[in-house]
Amino acid sequence: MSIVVEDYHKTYGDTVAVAGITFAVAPGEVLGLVGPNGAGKTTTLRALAGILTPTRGRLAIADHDLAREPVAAKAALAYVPDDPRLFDHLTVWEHLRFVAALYRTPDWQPEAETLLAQFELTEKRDALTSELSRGMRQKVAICCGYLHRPRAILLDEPLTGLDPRGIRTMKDSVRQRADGGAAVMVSSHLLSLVEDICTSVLILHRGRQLLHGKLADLRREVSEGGRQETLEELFFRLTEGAVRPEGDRGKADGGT
Amino acid sequence: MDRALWLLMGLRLWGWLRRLGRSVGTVRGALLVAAGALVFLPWVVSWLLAPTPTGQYLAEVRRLGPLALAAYCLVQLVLTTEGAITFSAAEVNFLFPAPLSRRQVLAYKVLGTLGTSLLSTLLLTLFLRQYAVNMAAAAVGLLLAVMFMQLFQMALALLASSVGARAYSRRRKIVLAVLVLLAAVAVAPAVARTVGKGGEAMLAEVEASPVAQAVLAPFAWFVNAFTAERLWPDLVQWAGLGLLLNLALLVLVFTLDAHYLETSAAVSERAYARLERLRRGGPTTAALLGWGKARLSVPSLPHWGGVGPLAWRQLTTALRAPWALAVVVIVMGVFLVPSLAEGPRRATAALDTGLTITLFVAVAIFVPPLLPFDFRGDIDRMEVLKTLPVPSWRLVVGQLLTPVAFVSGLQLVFFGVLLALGGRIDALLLAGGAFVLPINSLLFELDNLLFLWFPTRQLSATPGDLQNMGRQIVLWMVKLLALWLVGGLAALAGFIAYLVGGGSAVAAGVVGWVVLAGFVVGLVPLLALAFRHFDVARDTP
Repeated sequence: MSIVVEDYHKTYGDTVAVAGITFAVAPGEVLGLVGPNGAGKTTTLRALAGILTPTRGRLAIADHDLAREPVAAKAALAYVPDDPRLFDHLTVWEHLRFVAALYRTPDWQPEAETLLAQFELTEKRDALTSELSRGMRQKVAICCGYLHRPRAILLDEPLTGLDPRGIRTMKDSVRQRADGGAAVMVSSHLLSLVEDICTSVLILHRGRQLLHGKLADLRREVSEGGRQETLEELFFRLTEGAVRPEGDRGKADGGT
Repeated sequence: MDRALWLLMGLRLWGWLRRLGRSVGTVRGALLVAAGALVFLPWVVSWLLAPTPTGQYLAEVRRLGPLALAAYCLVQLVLTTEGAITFSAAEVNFLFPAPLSRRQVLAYKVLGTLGTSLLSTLLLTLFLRQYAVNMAAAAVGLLLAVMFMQLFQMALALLASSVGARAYSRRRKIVLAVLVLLAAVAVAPAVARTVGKGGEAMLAEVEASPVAQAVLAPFAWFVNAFTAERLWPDLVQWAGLGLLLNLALLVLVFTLDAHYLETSAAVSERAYARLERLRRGGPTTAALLGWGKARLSVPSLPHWGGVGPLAWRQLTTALRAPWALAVVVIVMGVFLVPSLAEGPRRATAALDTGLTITLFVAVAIFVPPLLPFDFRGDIDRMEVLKTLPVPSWRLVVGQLLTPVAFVSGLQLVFFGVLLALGGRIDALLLAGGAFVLPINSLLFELDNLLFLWFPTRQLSATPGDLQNMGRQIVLWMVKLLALWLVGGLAALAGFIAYLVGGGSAVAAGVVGWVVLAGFVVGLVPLLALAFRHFDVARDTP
């Protein structure tokens, strides 16, 4: 497994942000992380990125425990936050150069050129990132994330600010990376995006894991009166209806 | 340190220089840099060339310097409640999830902090050189002292994040209590010996006590390095000791590196949010960050064709920035001190004249930046303002009403206090009170007009930014020129009325007031025009 989360808890004083979630993402899998605001999605991603320390539980990236081997784990990881902040005084190309040095990526230039072309940034190669639009900055952050060919990719609201072309490129790139053997986690409020590109889904609510499984299995097994549900219907039924712990749901969690 | 971090440092330095160079490339940028350089560079050169005597107050510097450093450390110990080393948002984004060890990231931060302090140390050396004997020694001593202060702050921050904010807060209180107790026990004999001999004698006695000598000794190393007369052995000896102390702190910083990332990320996020607020509306709106709850609310104002809701919004914002309002009250209150010192019924006409003028000058210089509850604080809300179904001139009035009303109300209270202290009806103070409204309106109108014409974010400058200095100087000159022009015309009209009216001061005052009010009213359409022409796509800095 490329991403492993076991019994992850995160508390801030008396506030429980995440209350014991367990899942794994295999190479080639795209996991959609969904949930209402405050569900614990970003907290989970930031913990997997090594920014937050778990209160309890084990996190691993590419078979490297984040607590014991943080550097090795992070070397296999890319994290693109929901509002990527770039270095204002650096150009797009300088960002890629720095990231290549950071992740010790040899012969990175051809890959960087390809990524810039793919995300329509070639003309902006020498532009300062402070001069770019929100969507373009998002694309730069994604290029930086992809440059070192990570085995685990964490994307937090990756479509924010992207134009239709950018959205299509982003979706294609996620599929390509997964096909190439990367494990991808996508946190999004856009359920249509999750249905479109994810192979599995994890629904969080108030820090608890409501549901986890392959999308197709979930649609088949967790349905209302035998009727096939959309992810949106499933989401609202679970998060706004009676909430049961995942363990009670038994077969619904067939993912990990 | 990882070579990628060295690369980042180099790229950032180069990026900063490139940005400065690019901004100079435009005509406006070059002119603003020239204006800044014209003021700043002669100032530095005059410092360098001035035949300033060296080694002034050497004994005092050697005596008080260690005390000042010790006081700094004590203040840090008292104030550091939630310690964390702050990183920029981009650093958190790129470095925290990167395959770098915590120590590598920490080393980057330490080196970056010390590197950026080099420039400030250089300027500080120029500024303080008359207190040292040798320029090289002054520079070395100051650099070591600045390094010490930064490393001390970092060590405290890491200590706080290592033991946890709550535990740190508890232990800090215990440590502080023990320190206070020890200090009291240590200085008690010295204090007892000097009772009745005055504060200076008591301080000297306390300083001479073995405990104080021992506590102040490390701080004295930096001061002795700064005031060293010979490179060998003075500077080498004291600087060597100071360097050793800094190295010890550095070792402490690196041994306390466990689990600082999470706290740093959280604190950096808050710092970034604060910076964003600073960029939007200056320090006043940034201070609102600490006021998470709406503690004060204002009843709705009448609609007044759209003026009411706009004024209500600005008024509510102002009342939720009590620090800004308190600072304004303090700034203006300072000018009342001489009158209060005179006591009741002793205020003289000369004093009243001086106070009336200084009250207006104080408002003109200090107050507008503290009260950006108008267009200046709405730089990121100009789009919304443009969509409102309110005529431009009413929008201008609604936007400016709050700061004008607040400052005018405050000044009227102060004039009332002065009248009460004087115990008589003072014509000058009454006239001052009468002119409060038009003068304040004019001040805020000019500030907002210049902002709409040359929009700039408050506090967007970086150290050594000559262009920003130039911009501020030019704006100040334009503002003062406009004030002199309008004030001069009002005074001229008043003088003519005085002559025509057969020496009537009342006629002069009324005519002067009417002329000023005419300018105030006349500026509203100009402001409305400037607002309409403000292009959010082009003009938002």
